[in-house]
Amino acid sequence: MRLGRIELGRRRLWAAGAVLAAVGVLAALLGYGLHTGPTQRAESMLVGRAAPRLTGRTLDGSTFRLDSLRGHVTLVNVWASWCAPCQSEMPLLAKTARTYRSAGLRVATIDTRDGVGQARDFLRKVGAERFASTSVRDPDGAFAVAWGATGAPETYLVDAQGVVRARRIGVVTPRWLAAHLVPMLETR
Amino acid sequence: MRRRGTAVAALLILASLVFAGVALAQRAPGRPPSLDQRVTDVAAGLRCPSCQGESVADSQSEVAKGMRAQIRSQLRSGRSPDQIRSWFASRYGDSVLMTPSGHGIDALLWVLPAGLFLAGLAGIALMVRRRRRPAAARVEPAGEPESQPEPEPETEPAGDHGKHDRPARRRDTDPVIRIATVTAVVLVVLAVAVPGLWRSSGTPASSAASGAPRAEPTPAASTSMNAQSWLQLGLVLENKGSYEDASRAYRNSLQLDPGDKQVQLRLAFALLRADHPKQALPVARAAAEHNHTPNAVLILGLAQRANGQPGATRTLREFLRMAPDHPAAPQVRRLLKGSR
Repeated sequence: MRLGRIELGRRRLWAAGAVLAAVGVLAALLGYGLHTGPTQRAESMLVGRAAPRLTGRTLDGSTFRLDSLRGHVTLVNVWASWCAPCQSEMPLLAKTARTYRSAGLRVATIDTRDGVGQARDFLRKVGAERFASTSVRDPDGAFAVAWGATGAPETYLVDAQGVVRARRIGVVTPRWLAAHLVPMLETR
Repeated sequence: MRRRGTAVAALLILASLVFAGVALAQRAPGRPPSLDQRVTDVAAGLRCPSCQGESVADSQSEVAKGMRAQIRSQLRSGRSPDQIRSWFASRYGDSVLMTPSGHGIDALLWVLPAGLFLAGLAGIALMVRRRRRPAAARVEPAGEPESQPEPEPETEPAGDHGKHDRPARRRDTDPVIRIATVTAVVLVVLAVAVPGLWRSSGTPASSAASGAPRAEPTPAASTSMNAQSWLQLGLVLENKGSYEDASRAYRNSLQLDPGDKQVQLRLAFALLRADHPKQALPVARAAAEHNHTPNAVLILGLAQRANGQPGATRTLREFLRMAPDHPAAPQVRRLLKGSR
Protein backbone atom coordinates (compact mmCIF):
# COMPACT_ATOMS: atom_id res chain seq x y z
CA MET A 1 0.00 0.00 0.00
CA ARG A 2 2.75 2.39 0.89
CA LEU A 3 4.61 1.50 -2.31
CA GLY A 4 1.38 2.10 -4.21
CA ARG A 5 1.11 5.55 -2.70
CA ILE A 6 4.68 6.29 -3.62
CA GLU A 7 4.03 5.16 -7.20
CA LEU A 8 0.93 7.33 -7.41
CA GLY A 9 2.86 10.21 -5.90
CA ARG A 10 5.53 9.79 -8.55
CA ARG A 11 2.95 9.79 -11.30
CA ARG A 12 1.43 12.95 -9.92
CA LEU A 13 4.88 14.46 -9.79
CA TRP A 14 5.41 13.58 -13.45
CA ALA A 15 2.04 15.04 -14.38
CA ALA A 16 2.78 18.22 -12.44
CA GLY A 17 6.20 18.41 -14.11
CA ALA A 18 4.63 17.98 -17.52
CA VAL A 19 2.08 20.72 -16.88
CA LEU A 20 4.81 23.00 -15.55
CA ALA A 21 6.90 22.32 -18.67
CA ALA A 22 3.90 23.14 -20.85
CA VAL A 23 3.33 26.42 -19.03
CA GLY A 24 7.04 27.21 -19.31
CA VAL A 25 7.01 26.56 -23.05
CA LEU A 26 3.98 28.81 -23.51
CA ALA A 27 5.63 31.56 -21.47
CA ALA A 28 8.81 31.22 -23.56
CA LEU A 29 6.77 31.45 -26.77
CA LEU A 30 5.01 34.56 -25.51
CA GLY A 31 8.31 36.14 -24.55
CA TYR A 32 9.81 35.31 -27.95
CA GLY A 33 6.79 36.75 -29.72
CA LEU A 34 6.93 39.96 -27.71
CA HIS A 35 10.64 40.28 -28.32
CA THR A 36 10.64 39.67 -32.08
CA GLY A 37 7.38 41.35 -33.09
CA PRO A 38 8.44 44.98 -33.55
CA THR A 39 11.69 44.21 -35.41
CA GLN A 40 9.85 42.18 -38.01
CA ARG A 41 7.64 45.16 -38.65
CA ALA A 42 10.61 47.37 -39.51
CA GLU A 43 11.44 45.33 -42.61
CA SER A 44 9.49 45.97 -45.77
CA MET A 45 7.63 43.11 -47.39
CA LEU A 46 8.40 44.74 -50.73
CA VAL A 47 12.17 44.36 -50.62
CA GLY A 48 13.15 41.75 -53.20
CA ARG A 49 9.84 42.05 -55.06
CA ALA A 50 8.69 43.97 -58.12
CA ALA A 51 7.84 47.59 -57.32
CA PRO A 52 4.10 48.28 -56.98
CA ARG A 53 2.37 50.15 -59.77
CA LEU A 54 2.84 53.92 -59.67
CA THR A 55 0.90 55.66 -62.42
CA GLY A 56 -1.02 58.90 -62.01
CA ARG A 57 -1.39 62.65 -62.44
CA THR A 58 1.62 64.63 -61.30
CA LEU A 59 2.02 68.02 -59.64
CA ASP A 60 2.64 69.68 -63.03
CA GLY A 61 -0.53 68.16 -64.49
CA SER A 62 1.14 65.52 -66.68
CA THR A 63 0.84 61.75 -66.32
CA PHE A 64 3.70 59.73 -64.87
CA ARG A 65 4.37 56.00 -65.11
CA LEU A 66 7.10 54.42 -62.99
CA ASP A 67 7.42 51.69 -65.66
CA SER A 68 8.83 54.31 -68.01
CA LEU A 69 11.96 54.51 -65.80
CA ARG A 70 12.81 50.81 -66.27
CA GLY A 71 16.55 50.61 -66.91
CA HIS A 72 17.25 53.38 -64.37
CA VAL A 73 17.97 53.03 -60.68
CA THR A 74 15.10 54.95 -59.07
CA LEU A 75 14.44 56.43 -55.64
CA VAL A 76 10.73 56.53 -54.85
CA ASN A 77 10.10 59.00 -52.02
CA VAL A 78 6.83 59.31 -50.08
CA TRP A 79 6.45 62.89 -48.84
CA ALA A 80 4.12 65.81 -48.17
CA SER A 81 4.74 69.54 -47.87
CA TRP A 82 3.16 69.56 -44.37
CA CYS A 83 5.63 66.96 -43.08
CA ALA A 84 8.55 68.63 -41.30
CA PRO A 85 11.09 65.79 -41.74
CA CYS A 86 10.23 65.71 -45.47
CA GLN A 87 11.10 69.42 -45.64
CA SER A 88 14.54 68.80 -44.22
CA GLU A 89 15.10 65.79 -46.48
CA MET A 90 14.05 67.20 -49.87
CA PRO A 91 17.17 69.35 -50.52
CA LEU A 92 19.39 66.26 -50.12
CA LEU A 93 17.18 64.28 -52.50
CA ALA A 94 17.33 67.11 -55.05
CA LYS A 95 21.11 67.30 -54.76
CA THR A 96 21.47 63.51 -55.03
CA ALA A 97 19.27 63.51 -58.14
CA ARG A 98 21.51 66.14 -59.76
CA THR A 99 24.77 64.48 -58.73
CA TYR A 100 23.92 61.01 -59.96
CA ARG A 101 21.70 61.84 -62.93
CA SER A 102 24.50 61.04 -65.37
CA ALA A 103 25.07 57.74 -63.54
CA GLY A 104 21.47 56.77 -64.33
CA LEU A 105 19.62 57.80 -61.16
CA ARG A 106 16.03 59.03 -61.35
CA VAL A 107 13.78 60.22 -58.52
CA ALA A 108 10.01 59.69 -58.45
CA THR A 109 7.84 60.78 -55.56
CA ILE A 110 4.42 60.15 -54.06
CA ASP A 111 3.01 63.44 -52.75
CA THR A 112 0.63 62.02 -50.18
CA ARG A 113 -2.45 63.73 -48.71
CA ASP A 114 -1.21 67.13 -49.78
CA GLY A 115 -2.47 70.25 -51.53
CA VAL A 116 -1.17 70.68 -55.07
CA GLY A 117 -0.46 74.41 -54.62
CA GLN A 118 1.42 73.97 -51.34
CA ALA A 119 3.41 71.06 -52.74
CA ARG A 120 4.50 72.96 -55.85
CA ASP A 121 5.45 76.06 -53.80
CA PHE A 122 7.50 73.90 -51.49
CA LEU A 123 9.39 72.18 -54.34
CA ARG A 124 10.17 75.60 -55.83
CA LYS A 125 11.42 76.89 -52.48
CA VAL A 126 13.91 74.04 -52.00
CA GLY A 127 15.11 74.04 -55.61
CA ALA A 128 13.46 70.76 -56.52
CA GLU A 129 11.08 72.03 -59.24
CA ARG A 130 12.18 69.18 -61.49
CA PHE A 131 10.41 66.71 -59.20
CA ALA A 132 7.00 68.22 -60.10
CA SER A 133 6.86 66.15 -63.28
CA THR A 134 7.63 62.90 -61.43
CA SER A 135 5.62 63.61 -58.26
CA VAL A 136 2.42 61.57 -58.40
CA ARG A 137 -0.50 63.14 -56.54
CA ASP A 138 -1.89 60.90 -53.82
CA PRO A 139 -4.77 62.90 -52.31
CA ASP A 140 -6.27 59.99 -50.33
CA GLY A 141 -3.01 58.26 -49.40
CA ALA A 142 -3.82 55.10 -51.39
CA PHE A 143 -0.51 55.09 -53.33
CA ALA A 144 1.55 55.40 -50.15
CA VAL A 145 -0.35 52.43 -48.72
CA ALA A 146 0.18 50.42 -51.93
CA TRP A 147 3.91 50.86 -51.30
CA GLY A 148 3.53 49.66 -47.72
CA ALA A 149 4.43 53.06 -46.25
CA THR A 150 3.74 53.56 -42.56
CA GLY A 151 4.22 57.32 -42.66
CA ALA A 152 6.20 60.09 -44.35
CA PRO A 153 8.95 60.38 -45.32
CA GLU A 154 9.76 56.92 -46.59
CA THR A 155 12.04 56.09 -49.47
CA TYR A 156 12.30 52.98 -51.61
CA LEU A 157 15.27 52.11 -53.79
CA VAL A 158 14.19 50.40 -57.03
CA ASP A 159 16.83 48.80 -59.24
CA ALA A 160 17.04 48.99 -63.04
CA GLN A 161 14.92 45.82 -63.36
CA GLY A 162 12.10 47.37 -61.33
CA VAL A 163 12.74 45.35 -58.15
CA VAL A 164 12.62 47.08 -54.75
CA ARG A 165 16.05 46.69 -53.14
CA ALA A 166 15.90 48.77 -49.97
CA ARG A 167 13.57 50.88 -47.91
CA ARG A 168 14.32 53.79 -45.64
CA ILE A 169 11.83 54.72 -42.93
CA GLY A 170 12.34 58.36 -42.00
CA VAL A 171 14.71 60.93 -43.44
CA VAL A 172 17.23 59.73 -46.02
CA THR A 173 20.81 60.33 -44.89
CA PRO A 174 24.06 60.58 -46.86
CA ARG A 175 25.14 57.38 -45.10
CA TRP A 176 22.08 55.46 -46.25
CA LEU A 177 22.61 56.70 -49.79
CA ALA A 178 26.28 55.71 -49.64
CA ALA A 179 25.38 52.26 -48.34
CA HIS A 180 22.55 51.43 -50.72
CA LEU A 181 22.28 53.75 -53.69
CA VAL A 182 25.90 54.43 -54.59
CA PRO A 183 26.97 50.75 -54.81
CA MET A 184 24.00 50.03 -57.06
CA LEU A 185 24.94 52.85 -59.42
CA GLU A 186 28.53 51.65 -59.52
CA THR A 187 27.65 48.07 -60.36
CA ARG A 188 25.39 49.04 -63.26
CA MET B 1 -24.60 19.07 -3.37
CA ARG B 2 -23.81 17.43 -6.68
CA ARG B 3 -27.27 18.23 -8.00
CA ARG B 4 -26.85 21.89 -7.19
CA GLY B 5 -23.53 21.89 -9.10
CA THR B 6 -25.16 20.28 -12.12
CA ALA B 7 -27.96 22.83 -12.04
CA VAL B 8 -25.50 25.74 -11.93
CA ALA B 9 -23.51 24.26 -14.82
CA ALA B 10 -26.69 23.78 -16.86
CA LEU B 11 -27.73 27.39 -16.15
CA LEU B 12 -24.33 28.67 -17.23
CA ILE B 13 -24.48 26.71 -20.48
CA LEU B 14 -28.00 27.97 -21.12
CA ALA B 15 -26.92 31.57 -20.49
CA SER B 16 -23.99 31.25 -22.94
CA LEU B 17 -26.33 29.83 -25.58
CA VAL B 18 -28.77 32.72 -25.11
CA PHE B 19 -25.97 35.30 -25.42
CA ALA B 20 -24.57 33.56 -28.50
CA GLY B 21 -28.05 33.53 -30.04
CA VAL B 22 -28.54 37.25 -29.40
CA ALA B 23 -25.11 38.03 -30.88
CA LEU B 24 -25.85 35.95 -33.97
CA ALA B 25 -29.30 37.51 -34.38
CA GLN B 26 -27.72 40.99 -34.32
CA ARG B 27 -25.30 40.00 -37.05
CA ALA B 28 -27.91 38.27 -39.20
CA PRO B 29 -28.13 40.02 -42.55
CA GLY B 30 -31.40 41.87 -42.87
CA ARG B 31 -30.30 43.80 -45.97
CA PRO B 32 -26.92 44.06 -47.74
CA PRO B 33 -24.52 46.36 -45.84
CA SER B 34 -23.61 49.73 -47.36
CA LEU B 35 -20.16 50.36 -48.85
CA ASP B 36 -19.24 52.43 -45.76
CA GLN B 37 -20.22 49.51 -43.52
CA ARG B 38 -18.19 47.06 -45.61
CA VAL B 39 -15.15 49.39 -45.52
CA THR B 40 -15.49 49.60 -41.72
CA ASP B 41 -15.85 45.80 -41.44
CA VAL B 42 -12.65 45.14 -43.41
CA ALA B 43 -10.82 48.01 -41.65
CA ALA B 44 -11.79 46.60 -38.24
CA GLY B 45 -9.88 43.42 -39.13
CA LEU B 46 -6.66 45.29 -39.93
CA ARG B 47 -4.14 46.68 -37.47
CA CYS B 48 -2.98 50.26 -38.01
CA PRO B 49 0.79 49.83 -38.68
CA SER B 50 1.79 53.20 -37.21
CA CYS B 51 -0.37 52.97 -34.05
CA GLN B 52 -0.29 51.00 -30.82
CA GLY B 53 -3.07 48.42 -30.72
CA GLU B 54 -5.56 50.39 -32.81
CA SER B 55 -7.46 49.00 -35.77
CA VAL B 56 -7.55 50.78 -39.12
CA ALA B 57 -11.26 51.42 -38.49
CA ASP B 58 -10.58 53.21 -35.19
CA SER B 59 -7.37 55.10 -35.97
CA GLN B 60 -7.32 58.69 -37.20
CA SER B 61 -3.70 58.49 -38.39
CA GLU B 62 -2.81 59.44 -41.98
CA VAL B 63 -1.83 55.85 -42.77
CA ALA B 64 -5.14 54.48 -41.51
CA LYS B 65 -7.00 57.04 -43.65
CA GLY B 66 -4.96 55.91 -46.67
CA MET B 67 -5.69 52.28 -45.83
CA ARG B 68 -9.42 52.96 -45.63
CA ALA B 69 -9.22 54.68 -49.03
CA GLN B 70 -7.49 51.58 -50.44
CA ILE B 71 -10.14 49.29 -48.95
CA ARG B 72 -12.92 51.41 -50.45
CA SER B 73 -11.33 51.47 -53.89
CA GLN B 74 -10.68 47.70 -53.84
CA LEU B 75 -14.23 46.90 -52.65
CA ARG B 76 -15.57 49.11 -55.45
CA SER B 77 -13.53 47.16 -58.00
CA GLY B 78 -15.19 43.97 -56.77
CA ARG B 79 -12.45 42.40 -54.65
CA SER B 80 -13.54 40.25 -51.72
CA PRO B 81 -12.64 41.10 -48.09
CA ASP B 82 -10.31 38.08 -48.00
CA GLN B 83 -8.50 39.25 -51.13
CA ILE B 84 -8.12 42.71 -49.63
CA ARG B 85 -6.74 41.30 -46.38
CA SER B 86 -4.20 39.24 -48.35
CA TRP B 87 -3.24 42.34 -50.31
CA PHE B 88 -2.53 44.25 -47.09
CA ALA B 89 -0.57 41.31 -45.67
CA SER B 90 1.59 41.36 -48.83
CA ARG B 91 2.41 45.04 -48.13
CA TYR B 92 2.69 45.13 -44.35
CA GLY B 93 3.22 41.49 -43.38
CA ASP B 94 0.87 39.18 -41.49
CA SER B 95 1.15 41.41 -38.41
CA VAL B 96 -1.31 43.80 -40.09
CA LEU B 97 -4.08 41.22 -39.68
CA MET B 98 -6.09 41.44 -36.45
CA THR B 99 -7.05 37.77 -36.87
CA PRO B 100 -4.16 35.32 -37.03
CA SER B 101 -3.64 34.04 -40.55
CA GLY B 102 -3.90 30.30 -39.84
CA HIS B 103 -0.59 29.28 -41.36
CA GLY B 104 2.89 29.00 -39.90
CA ILE B 105 3.20 29.95 -36.24
CA ASP B 106 -0.22 31.63 -36.33
CA ALA B 107 -1.85 28.21 -36.79
CA LEU B 108 -0.90 27.46 -33.16
CA LEU B 109 -3.24 30.21 -32.01
CA TRP B 110 -6.14 28.39 -33.65
CA VAL B 111 -5.15 24.83 -32.79
CA LEU B 112 -3.93 25.23 -29.21
CA PRO B 113 -7.09 26.59 -27.53
CA ALA B 114 -9.29 24.02 -29.28
CA GLY B 115 -6.85 21.21 -28.42
CA LEU B 116 -6.55 22.29 -24.79
CA PHE B 117 -10.32 22.64 -24.52
CA LEU B 118 -10.86 19.10 -25.84
CA ALA B 119 -8.11 17.72 -23.59
CA GLY B 120 -9.77 19.47 -20.62
CA LEU B 121 -13.17 18.02 -21.49
CA ALA B 122 -11.68 14.53 -21.80
CA GLY B 123 -9.91 14.98 -18.47
CA ILE B 124 -13.11 16.06 -16.71
CA ALA B 125 -15.05 13.14 -18.24
CA LEU B 126 -12.43 10.68 -17.02
CA MET B 127 -12.35 12.19 -13.55
CA VAL B 128 -16.12 11.94 -13.28
CA ARG B 129 -15.98 8.30 -14.39
CA ARG B 130 -13.22 7.53 -11.90
CA ARG B 131 -15.16 9.06 -9.01
CA ARG B 132 -18.30 7.15 -9.87
CA ARG B 133 -16.66 3.72 -10.19
CA PRO B 134 -14.91 3.51 -6.85
CA ALA B 135 -18.13 4.72 -5.23
CA ALA B 136 -20.00 1.82 -6.83
CA ALA B 137 -17.17 -0.62 -6.08
CA ARG B 138 -17.02 0.39 -2.44
CA VAL B 139 -20.50 -0.91 -1.82
CA GLU B 140 -19.64 -4.44 -2.98
CA PRO B 141 -16.77 -5.59 -0.74
CA ALA B 142 -18.59 -5.90 2.56
CA GLY B 143 -16.60 -5.15 5.68
CA GLU B 144 -13.72 -3.51 3.84
CA PRO B 145 -12.91 -0.26 5.63
CA GLU B 146 -13.74 2.84 3.58
CA SER B 147 -10.63 4.64 4.59
CA GLN B 148 -8.43 2.12 2.77
CA PRO B 149 -7.36 4.06 -0.27
CA GLU B 150 -6.35 2.46 -3.54
CA PRO B 151 -4.80 -0.87 -2.59
CA GLU B 152 -2.01 -2.09 -4.87
CA PRO B 153 -1.53 -5.72 -5.93
CA GLU B 154 2.17 -5.83 -5.09
CA THR B 155 1.73 -4.75 -1.50
CA GLU B 156 -1.46 -6.33 -0.29
CA PRO B 157 -2.86 -9.80 -1.01
CA ALA B 158 -6.56 -9.46 -1.73
CA GLY B 159 -9.60 -11.52 -2.43
CA ASP B 160 -11.38 -11.94 -5.76
CA HIS B 161 -13.08 -8.58 -5.52
CA GLY B 162 -9.81 -6.80 -5.30
CA LYS B 163 -8.37 -8.63 -8.26
CA HIS B 164 -11.21 -7.58 -10.51
CA ASP B 165 -11.44 -4.13 -9.06
CA ARG B 166 -7.85 -3.03 -9.13
CA PRO B 167 -6.96 -3.19 -12.83
CA ALA B 168 -10.13 -1.18 -13.59
CA ARG B 169 -9.12 1.53 -11.12
CA ARG B 170 -5.64 1.66 -12.55
CA ARG B 171 -6.98 2.18 -16.06
CA ASP B 172 -9.09 5.03 -14.69
CA THR B 173 -6.20 6.76 -12.96
CA ASP B 174 -3.71 6.48 -15.78
CA PRO B 175 -5.54 8.30 -18.61
CA VAL B 176 -5.76 11.59 -16.70
CA ILE B 177 -2.03 11.62 -16.18
CA ARG B 178 -1.52 10.33 -19.69
CA ILE B 179 -3.56 13.15 -21.21
CA ALA B 180 -1.65 15.76 -19.24
CA THR B 181 1.64 14.19 -20.30
CA VAL B 182 0.63 13.88 -23.96
CA THR B 183 -0.56 17.51 -24.01
CA ALA B 184 2.73 18.62 -22.52
CA VAL B 185 4.73 16.51 -24.99
CA VAL B 186 2.72 17.91 -27.91
CA LEU B 187 3.39 21.45 -26.67
CA VAL B 188 7.10 20.78 -26.32
CA VAL B 189 7.28 19.20 -29.80
CA LEU B 190 5.44 22.20 -31.23
CA ALA B 191 7.84 24.53 -29.46
CA VAL B 192 10.80 22.70 -30.95
CA ALA B 193 9.22 22.92 -34.40
CA VAL B 194 8.36 26.58 -33.89
CA PRO B 195 11.54 28.22 -35.25
CA GLY B 196 10.86 26.55 -38.61
CA LEU B 197 7.21 27.54 -38.52
CA TRP B 198 8.15 31.06 -37.54
CA ARG B 199 10.55 31.39 -40.45
CA SER B 200 8.02 30.05 -42.92
CA SER B 201 5.32 32.44 -41.74
CA GLY B 202 7.55 35.44 -42.37
CA THR B 203 8.96 34.57 -45.79
CA PRO B 204 7.48 35.95 -48.98
CA ALA B 205 7.14 32.36 -50.26
CA SER B 206 4.65 31.38 -47.56
CA SER B 207 2.57 34.52 -47.85
CA ALA B 208 2.32 33.84 -51.59
CA ALA B 209 0.21 30.85 -50.62
CA SER B 210 -2.36 33.19 -49.11
CA GLY B 211 -3.40 34.21 -52.61
CA ALA B 212 -1.94 37.71 -52.57
CA PRO B 213 -0.78 39.14 -55.89
CA ARG B 214 2.95 38.47 -56.00
CA ALA B 215 6.00 39.42 -57.94
CA GLU B 216 8.65 36.94 -59.05
CA PRO B 217 10.57 35.53 -56.10
CA THR B 218 14.13 36.76 -55.87
CA PRO B 219 17.23 34.90 -54.66
CA ALA B 220 16.69 36.31 -51.17
CA ALA B 221 13.31 34.62 -51.02
CA SER B 222 14.72 31.10 -51.34
CA THR B 223 14.74 29.12 -48.12
CA SER B 224 18.37 27.97 -48.24
CA MET B 225 20.73 30.84 -47.53
CA ASN B 226 22.92 31.61 -50.51
CA ALA B 227 25.54 34.35 -50.76
CA GLN B 228 22.94 36.87 -51.96
CA SER B 229 20.61 36.08 -49.05
CA TRP B 230 23.40 36.57 -46.52
CA LEU B 231 24.23 39.87 -48.19
CA GLN B 232 20.60 40.98 -47.98
CA LEU B 233 20.43 39.94 -44.33
CA GLY B 234 23.65 41.85 -43.65
CA LEU B 235 22.23 44.97 -45.30
CA VAL B 236 19.09 44.78 -43.19
CA LEU B 237 21.11 44.32 -39.99
CA GLU B 238 23.46 47.13 -40.96
CA ASN B 239 20.52 49.41 -41.63
CA LYS B 240 19.28 48.65 -38.13
CA GLY B 241 22.65 49.52 -36.70
CA SER B 242 23.56 45.93 -35.71
CA TYR B 243 27.06 46.07 -37.17
CA GLU B 244 28.41 43.00 -35.33
CA ASP B 245 25.60 40.82 -36.67
CA ALA B 246 25.85 42.43 -40.10
CA SER B 247 29.57 41.65 -40.30
CA ARG B 248 28.80 38.01 -39.44
CA ALA B 249 26.23 37.85 -42.24
CA TYR B 250 28.71 39.39 -44.71
CA ARG B 251 31.37 36.88 -43.68
CA ASN B 252 28.90 34.07 -44.38
CA SER B 253 28.17 35.58 -47.76
CA LEU B 254 31.90 35.81 -48.53
CA GLN B 255 32.43 32.19 -47.56
CA LEU B 256 30.00 31.21 -50.32
CA ASP B 257 31.29 33.79 -52.82
CA PRO B 258 34.78 34.91 -51.70
CA GLY B 259 35.51 37.20 -54.66
CA ASP B 260 32.55 39.57 -54.25
CA LYS B 261 34.11 43.02 -53.90
CA GLN B 262 30.75 44.52 -52.98
CA VAL B 263 30.40 42.27 -49.93
CA GLN B 264 34.05 42.78 -48.97
CA LEU B 265 33.37 46.51 -48.93
CA ARG B 266 30.26 46.12 -46.82
CA LEU B 267 32.12 43.82 -44.40
CA ALA B 268 34.97 46.30 -44.03
CA PHE B 269 32.47 49.10 -43.37
CA ALA B 270 30.51 47.01 -40.83
CA LEU B 271 33.73 46.03 -39.03
CA LEU B 272 34.76 49.67 -38.85
CA ARG B 273 31.40 50.64 -37.40
CA ALA B 274 31.56 47.72 -34.95
CA ASP B 275 34.90 49.12 -33.75
CA HIS B 276 37.12 46.35 -35.13
CA PRO B 277 39.59 48.45 -37.14
CA LYS B 278 42.32 45.80 -37.13
CA GLN B 279 40.01 43.23 -38.72
CA ALA B 280 38.60 45.83 -41.11
CA LEU B 281 41.94 46.85 -42.63
CA PRO B 282 42.85 43.61 -44.52
CA VAL B 283 39.24 43.29 -45.75
CA ALA B 284 39.25 46.90 -46.97
CA ARG B 285 42.59 46.28 -48.75
CA ALA B 286 41.16 43.19 -50.47
CA ALA B 287 38.06 45.16 -51.45
CA ALA B 288 40.11 48.01 -52.94
CA GLU B 289 42.43 45.66 -54.86
CA HIS B 290 41.69 45.92 -58.61
CA ASN B 291 38.59 47.87 -57.63
CA HIS B 292 39.43 51.56 -57.83
CA THR B 293 35.96 52.90 -57.03
CA PRO B 294 35.26 55.88 -54.73
CA ASN B 295 33.57 53.65 -52.14
CA ALA B 296 36.47 51.20 -52.01
CA VAL B 297 39.00 54.02 -51.68
CA LEU B 298 36.85 55.71 -49.01
CA ILE B 299 36.54 52.56 -46.86
CA LEU B 300 40.26 51.80 -47.24
CA GLY B 301 41.11 55.36 -46.18
CA LEU B 302 38.81 55.15 -43.16
CA ALA B 303 40.27 51.76 -42.17
CA GLN B 304 43.82 53.12 -42.47
CA ARG B 305 42.86 56.14 -40.40
CA ALA B 306 41.24 53.98 -37.71
CA ASN B 307 44.50 52.00 -37.49
CA GLY B 308 46.56 55.18 -37.27
CA GLN B 309 48.36 54.52 -40.57
CA PRO B 310 50.13 57.48 -42.17
CA GLY B 311 48.77 56.62 -45.66
CA ALA B 312 45.21 57.38 -44.53
CA THR B 313 45.26 61.09 -45.43
CA ARG B 314 46.59 60.39 -48.92
CA THR B 315 43.92 57.72 -49.55
CA LEU B 316 41.10 59.95 -48.31
CA ARG B 317 42.38 62.85 -50.50
CA GLU B 318 42.38 60.43 -53.43
CA PHE B 319 38.74 59.64 -52.61
CA LEU B 320 37.84 63.36 -52.62
CA ARG B 321 39.59 63.80 -56.00
CA MET B 322 37.60 60.87 -57.41
CA ALA B 323 34.19 61.85 -56.08
CA PRO B 324 33.99 65.46 -54.86
CA ASP B 325 30.16 65.28 -54.84
CA HIS B 326 29.94 61.95 -53.00
CA PRO B 327 27.43 62.10 -50.10
CA ALA B 328 30.27 61.23 -47.72
CA ALA B 329 32.62 63.88 -49.14
CA PRO B 330 31.71 66.72 -46.70
CA GLN B 331 32.32 64.43 -43.73
CA VAL B 332 35.69 63.32 -45.12
CA ARG B 333 36.70 66.97 -45.65
CA ARG B 334 35.83 67.66 -42.02
CA LEU B 335 37.90 64.64 -40.96
CA LEU B 336 40.90 65.81 -42.96
CA LYS B 337 40.56 69.34 -41.65
CA GLY B 338 40.43 68.02 -38.10
CA SER B 339 43.51 65.84 -38.46
CA ARG B 340 45.66 68.64 -39.84
